[in-house]
Amino acid sequence: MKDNDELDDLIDAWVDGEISQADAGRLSDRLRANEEARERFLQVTDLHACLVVDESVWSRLEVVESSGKANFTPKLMAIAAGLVGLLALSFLIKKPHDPTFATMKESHAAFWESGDLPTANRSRLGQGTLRLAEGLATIKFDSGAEVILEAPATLVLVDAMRCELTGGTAVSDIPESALGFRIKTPSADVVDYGTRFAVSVYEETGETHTQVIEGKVQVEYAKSGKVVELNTGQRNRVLGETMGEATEGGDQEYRTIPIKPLDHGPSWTLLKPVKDAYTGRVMGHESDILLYIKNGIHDENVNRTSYIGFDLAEIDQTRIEEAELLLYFAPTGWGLASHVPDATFSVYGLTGDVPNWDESILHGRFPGEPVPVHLGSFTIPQGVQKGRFGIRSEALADFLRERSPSEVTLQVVRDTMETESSGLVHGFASRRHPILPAPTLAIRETSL
Amino acid sequence: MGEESPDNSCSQKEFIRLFLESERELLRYVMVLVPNATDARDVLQEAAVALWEKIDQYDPAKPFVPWACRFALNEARMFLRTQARRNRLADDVVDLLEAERIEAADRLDRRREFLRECLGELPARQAEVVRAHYFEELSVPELSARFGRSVEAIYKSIQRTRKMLHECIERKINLEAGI
Repeated sequence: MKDNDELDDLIDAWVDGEISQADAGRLSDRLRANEEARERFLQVTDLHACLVVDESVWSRLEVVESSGKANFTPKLMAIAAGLVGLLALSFLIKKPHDPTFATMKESHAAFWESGDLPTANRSRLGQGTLRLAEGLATIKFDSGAEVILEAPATLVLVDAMRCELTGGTAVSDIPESALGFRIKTPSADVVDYGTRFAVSVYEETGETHTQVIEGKVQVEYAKSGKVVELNTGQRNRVLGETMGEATEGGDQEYRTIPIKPLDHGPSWTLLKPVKDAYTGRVMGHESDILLYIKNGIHDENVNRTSYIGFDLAEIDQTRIEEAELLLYFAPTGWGLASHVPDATFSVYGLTGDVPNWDESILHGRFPGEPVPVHLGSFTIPQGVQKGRFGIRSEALADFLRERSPSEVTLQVVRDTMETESSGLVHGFASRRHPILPAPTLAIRETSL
Repeated sequence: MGEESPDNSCSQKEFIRLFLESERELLRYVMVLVPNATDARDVLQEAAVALWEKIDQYDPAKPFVPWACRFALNEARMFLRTQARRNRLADDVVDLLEAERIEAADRLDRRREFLRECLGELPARQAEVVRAHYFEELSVPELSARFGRSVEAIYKSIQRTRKMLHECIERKINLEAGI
């Protein structure tokens, strides 16, 4: 028995590419000596191979009959392409791994806040978060599922068969190829068994409303595993400890969700900066209420970089669990948006020699020789000049946990350079802005 | 190269059809010797070229896979040599495995028929990890990031799941045989 365990361990290490030279020798000896060992080796390696090769075993439900063959037909129709060209279409070329599984199909009057996915029409999408502040956007998953997001909404894309709606409304259209498509919400899992349904999540309570426009879905209550099936025209509600039964409600008006300023609950502490400023001021172009950011094509001296200082004194740094930096962008009135493509911004934490800087001295360059550590990035689509953007990352939480003394400095730069001179200057509200919220550091601590 | 007789282009069509129909099956053979899926796909590419060069030796009256699998296995063995990988099995053992893999084809096909059923019986959490590994083809470090577990724990989980599947298949085979 023990012998077999050792053999299995050796085979496992070999299959997963983790075997040492010595163990490869030991495995060779075992296999050479014993036919049963070889049979077992063939069984395990073939099981491993089948898991890779038999893609159809992964599709849920038994609906998929004969889909394997059908997959090849379009390839064969391309036969004119010749041998080499055709092989390039085959299953072999699944690698290199393409991490995308959905497409931004279209959007109407859409206005995006910081997520980590592209938002331009026809962009390919992989895992990540979309935050729609205004308008409508349609996301087409490769499984065939189509999800229309209605703002304000936050959708996390998981894979071609799964997404998570943490707030807002999603209307989904599910063809046969995507049966079993799953929308996870904070309180429930909604699994689609055909056609069209709407899910709304109330961010402040996690309440999930599901309405079937046509077809059938199952709502699985995350905590108890209870399942309610909804058919055409039916709706139900999941809130906290209670899971509603299916009710007829097709005629009721669909309530849309009120816009909420901030989605941080009571376990979060929101910190305002103790100071903020930007470098690279140009006479006559400066602003006291906005912090400017620019990455110019010609002169490094007129680049603008913003710095924000926070004091963590009221936080127990060792208990920081999650952290997010929020910036409220507003038009600066300077530069041409058409000279700056979709722009990536990076947030750095300053470490090493960070002098105790003063807002008034930041006209030239930042003093001292600090070492910036990358904490996260966000993208603002071309032409967008307002909205809430920011980062939420493990690196930011780590940085905040490890800082001492309690005052920290964050640096915000635009990685994307203008394509021609006179490009747009981006700006976000400083702590002196009369209307917009100041840069905000949201921190969640573990409870004691 | 450029001037192909109509005859030739017809057999090329036929070859492509045969190859596409069999590639998953052939990949299964290659992976016995080359367990890394990406490497195995590269090997199968090479095998496709070798097969195309030898296609006139193929008797269309006979099934394609038993003929082609020898080329695929041979290509796998050549890959192992050129790679000079440190985790190589001894050459004589590779010979044995190659011969016995071909001989074991029917037995392994029977086991394969139970795979889907056994996958369906896995606990959800475990099924999720192996699905992400095998279907989405995420590497172990990627899985570690996604599931918030250590690399070591992910390896263990995949290996445990393979073992459960193996035992499940074994059980069903025995049940069928009335043992």
